[in-house]
Amino acid sequence: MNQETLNRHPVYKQPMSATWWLSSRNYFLFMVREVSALFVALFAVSYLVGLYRLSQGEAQYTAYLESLQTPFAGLSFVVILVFALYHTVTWFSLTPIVMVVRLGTRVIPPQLVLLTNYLVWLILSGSLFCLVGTS
Amino acid sequence: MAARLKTTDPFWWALFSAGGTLAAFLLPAHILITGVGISFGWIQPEVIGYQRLLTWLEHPLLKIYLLLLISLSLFHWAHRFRYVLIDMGLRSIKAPVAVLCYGTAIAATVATLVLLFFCL
Amino acid sequence: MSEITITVTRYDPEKDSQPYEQSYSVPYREEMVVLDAINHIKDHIDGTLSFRWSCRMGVCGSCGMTVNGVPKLTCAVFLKDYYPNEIKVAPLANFPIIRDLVIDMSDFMDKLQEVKPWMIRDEEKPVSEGEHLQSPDQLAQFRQFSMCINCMLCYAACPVYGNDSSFIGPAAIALAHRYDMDSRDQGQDQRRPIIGSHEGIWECTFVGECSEVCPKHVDPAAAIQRSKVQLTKDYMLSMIWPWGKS
Repeated sequence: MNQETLNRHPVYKQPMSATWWLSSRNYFLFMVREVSALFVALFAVSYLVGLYRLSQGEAQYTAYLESLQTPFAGLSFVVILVFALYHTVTWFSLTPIVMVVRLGTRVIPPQLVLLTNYLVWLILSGSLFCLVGTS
Repeated sequence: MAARLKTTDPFWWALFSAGGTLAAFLLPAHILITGVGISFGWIQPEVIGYQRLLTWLEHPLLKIYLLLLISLSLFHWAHRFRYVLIDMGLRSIKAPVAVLCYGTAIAATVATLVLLFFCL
Repeated sequence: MSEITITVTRYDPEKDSQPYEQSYSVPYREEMVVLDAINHIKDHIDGTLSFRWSCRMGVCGSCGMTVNGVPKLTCAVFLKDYYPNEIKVAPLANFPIIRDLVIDMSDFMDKLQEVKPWMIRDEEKPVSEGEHLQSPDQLAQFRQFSMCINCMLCYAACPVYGNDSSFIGPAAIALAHRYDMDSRDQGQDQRRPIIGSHEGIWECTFVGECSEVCPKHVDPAAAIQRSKVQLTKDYMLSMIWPWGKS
């Protein structure tokens, strides 16, 4: 439709609803996935705060450790963990779509890529647990 | 060459991807051990006690690890949050919002860098 | 004779200030699709209803509309999946309405042309030199992206395009990708400035709904994300080695 036609026949611009992301399950889950990044950031900031308290000295750092053991902290961490897990699961499910892994001309099946991600995740998590728990 | 550099999008997207990957693989374990674990008493706080942590942080590799973990997680948030606001309908203040988001991540990175390499 | 209610969006730009809904009672048969119902309305009940359709078998891409809130090809949606409930048929989302169920697709047509969805060669191979040879593996690299029928359901499903129509959009990028991945094509550099611009792949936030609604399983979301990876790699390389070809 060229400009001349448009001038003779005006079109109606459909408005986009501000709550479009509530209109379907897929859209809503997309928004949850995006918001999970906020909680990832919050946890990273808590580490930054921890490092700051560490730099201030033993008294301040011990106080920081004590604040981690309050019910508010406990609840916050649970919420953060839930969102972090959602981030992990969705990130792994999207990786095979984003990256096509080729060995020569053969394509590695997406299920294998997914499985590898989870295996590496388990190994890394386990290693972290051992490192922190033991050394 | 100039055309290729006109947009900085790939740069922020690379940081977003790196942060997302790091967070996906490492964060749940970190949260479970140093967050939920300590809060609920499953893990003793001495595990990340003052002296223990200072000893660990003598290793530059651990400093780099923490720097990457914190910094990239924030760049991941910055990029995603900026676009979430746009997806939610943000139109007019797109540029200032981008500056705020990436600026926060940059500030946090600098703060972490200073703390890890100059204060601890 | 069973009947089903079809509620259709009506809009006459010469009479109405806004679109409104109108319901019709249409005879129901199990094998009918939504397009059959709409054609019945036009043929037997209300001849003023306007809509696009052509092949009625899912290859032309003309009959895309919003059916109960979801972008669909109306020739591929069976009434029996909704019966006995009412079916709402609205124009394709995110496009301006010309009349009733007919949308203005000029924006999409412009974007399609912008990405140069045709074979680009540095030099045309003369016929005497024979055909371009392509292995099955090479074909497999781009084949799914060539299945696009330009039906624009992906644009209707994309909230980024809905919020900002300057976004190039899923189908255009998928088609650019189809040619970029074709071993016979040499036009990647010509498509780069469009695809790699901010309004190109970078506005996409990987909602993924475009691939969900695509009737031909093109998976434009995959094309976009893979382009992001490729362009990021090239960007990093150009940072480290700026003297490469631009």
